[in-house]
Amino acid sequence: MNSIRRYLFRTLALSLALITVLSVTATYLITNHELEEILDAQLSLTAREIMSFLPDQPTPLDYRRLAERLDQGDASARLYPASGITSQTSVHLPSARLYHHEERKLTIGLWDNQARPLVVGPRWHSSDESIAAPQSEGFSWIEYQGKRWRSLTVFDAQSDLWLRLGIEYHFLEEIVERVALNHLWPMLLLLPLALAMMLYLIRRGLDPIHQLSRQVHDRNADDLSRITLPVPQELHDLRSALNEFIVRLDKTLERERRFTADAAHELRTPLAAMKIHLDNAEAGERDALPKAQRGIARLQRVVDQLLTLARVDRKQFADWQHLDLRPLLFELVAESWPLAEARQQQLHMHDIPSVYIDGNAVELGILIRNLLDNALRYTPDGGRIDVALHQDNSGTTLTIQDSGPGIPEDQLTTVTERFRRASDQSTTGSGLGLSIAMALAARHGAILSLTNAERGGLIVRLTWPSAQMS
Amino acid sequence: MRALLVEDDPLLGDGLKTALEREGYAVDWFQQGGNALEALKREPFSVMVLDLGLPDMDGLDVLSEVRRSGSLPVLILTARDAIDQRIRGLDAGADDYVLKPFELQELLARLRVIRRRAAGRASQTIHLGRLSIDEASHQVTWQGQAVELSRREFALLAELAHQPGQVLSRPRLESLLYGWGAELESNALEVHVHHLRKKLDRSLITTVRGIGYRLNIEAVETP
Repeated sequence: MNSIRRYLFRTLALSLALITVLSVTATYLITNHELEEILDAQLSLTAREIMSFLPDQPTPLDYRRLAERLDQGDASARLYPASGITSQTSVHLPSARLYHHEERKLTIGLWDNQARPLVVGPRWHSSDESIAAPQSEGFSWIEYQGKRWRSLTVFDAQSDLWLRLGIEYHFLEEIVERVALNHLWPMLLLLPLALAMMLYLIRRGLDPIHQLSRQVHDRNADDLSRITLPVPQELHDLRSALNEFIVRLDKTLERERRFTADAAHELRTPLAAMKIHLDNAEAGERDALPKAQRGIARLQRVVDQLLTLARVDRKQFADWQHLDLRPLLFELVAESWPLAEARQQQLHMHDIPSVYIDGNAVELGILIRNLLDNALRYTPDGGRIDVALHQDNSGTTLTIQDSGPGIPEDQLTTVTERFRRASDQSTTGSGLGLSIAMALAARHGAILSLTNAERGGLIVRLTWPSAQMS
Repeated sequence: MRALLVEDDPLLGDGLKTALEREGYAVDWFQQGGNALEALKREPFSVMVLDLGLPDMDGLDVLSEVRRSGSLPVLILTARDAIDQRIRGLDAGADDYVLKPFELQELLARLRVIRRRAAGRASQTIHLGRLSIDEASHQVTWQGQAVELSRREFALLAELAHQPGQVLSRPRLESLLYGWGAELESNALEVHVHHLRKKLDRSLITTVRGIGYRLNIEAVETP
């Protein structure tokens, strides 16, 4: 990813350059247009002035005088035969001079009513060719010897003459260019300033991002409080996403802390019990030794389950196979049979169909054995446990129902957490069996749910949403 | 010496009760904090052993409830070993803190210490004139001579010696010695008093007729 600062700076600088170019071009075009209008107006005023001074019937002398006045020193006007003077074609005055060097770009011509040239000012004639005769009135562009002229042509009815005034285009162009350039220079000179300001403003605008990262970076690892730094609107989402993440992290860590505390409790309590019963045995208590043995059995169970949980948590997908639940179930129930018999419990299996699922036989064994074990342990002597497997639209469901005390409704959801067990049960367990079952079920794409039966007892359902009957 | 034991684990609770009783305590054992608090309102106890992980309420809440009502010495028994947990326990008013698993002898010694501290004594031996009672070794000497006492006799003498001169009522003494709900012979207390008078001195324990007994300070002080 590119840096936002670099992106903003580059694009803004480019935009600025583009705007400069556009602005200069617009200035050029507008100035060009406006100047053309001013010059056109100037031409028409000059034409009016000249016409007002023209006599009704100009004599050859009048044309000659005009030709003399038009003499610019280095270039002279030309008299044509139609003016009545045939002896000289160009008139030179010793006193003629150029008032201004730009005068060369302005000139004038007179034609009679048959469009024969009378007097044509400097620049509009050469030795062999004069500018074309006027044909119609109005403003027009004229090409003459490679130069463009803006011209106004009028016919003066009083003197019966065509009058044409012209300004060389180059003159106009030069003015326009100068105006446009004069506009460009300040912009070019201000460009470094504009770029520096942009850099500063971009840096300032992006500062809240730096502040936010600094606050996150400087945070103590134990500090899981929310980020309260005021941020601009655009960063609100980022901040709340960070805060949500912190909350999730806090919850996970809290769960870990509780797990450690619970594990300590589950391991140390049987140890403490064992020690004290051994002390009692030493002091001569007769039934203390079997009690110490019970402590050892409990400790062993907790250790076994913790190790199982650690293995389940490692998430290895070894030996995944397509296997039939039916023989597995029979095997597991047969395994539990002696336990049930010892406590006069009835262990029932309903017709179990063949259902193939993908999974690991050992892990499925641990999962179902845990559920059966729970059912047997929490069912009183002489109770009943029903195992059934059936299929419907929602998938395949293994149901284990016992006639035990069930679980208080408010604890149904928390009892699958590690080390949670229903509070008022006298049977001791590590509180890990259900969380192991939960983890294994999730790995096998199955859903484990607990409900209390209406007539008492717990119903445990293990549902594979997609399993197929063979 | 009557102990209130609050421990939800059946196996550990059972073992502790046996061990404390062997030490001469009358033990009332509860698995839930609420029941223990109820008992505390009705009965006198010398010391409390409290587990923190209880099913119905947090042990620390039980502790603050106990602290609100009195100065019963409380020893916390727990698997929670984090330092901040211990600090919280002690700040909540526990007199001592023992981690599971523990040595029984250490637990008993700590119980003696917190009881002694509650009684405002620095030594574990009670010296009263010609009488001295060592609570750790259960040794009693009278005028410099060691006297052999049974467990109950020792407990009765210790209770009287803890509050010399004070009249302790019959029901209170009975419950301190035997615990709540214990079946006892109607004259069990008289038998113990009779034995103590015989083994030590006739005038040592005064009968306050119809009410109870007290340790006669004058008889202890002057030969």
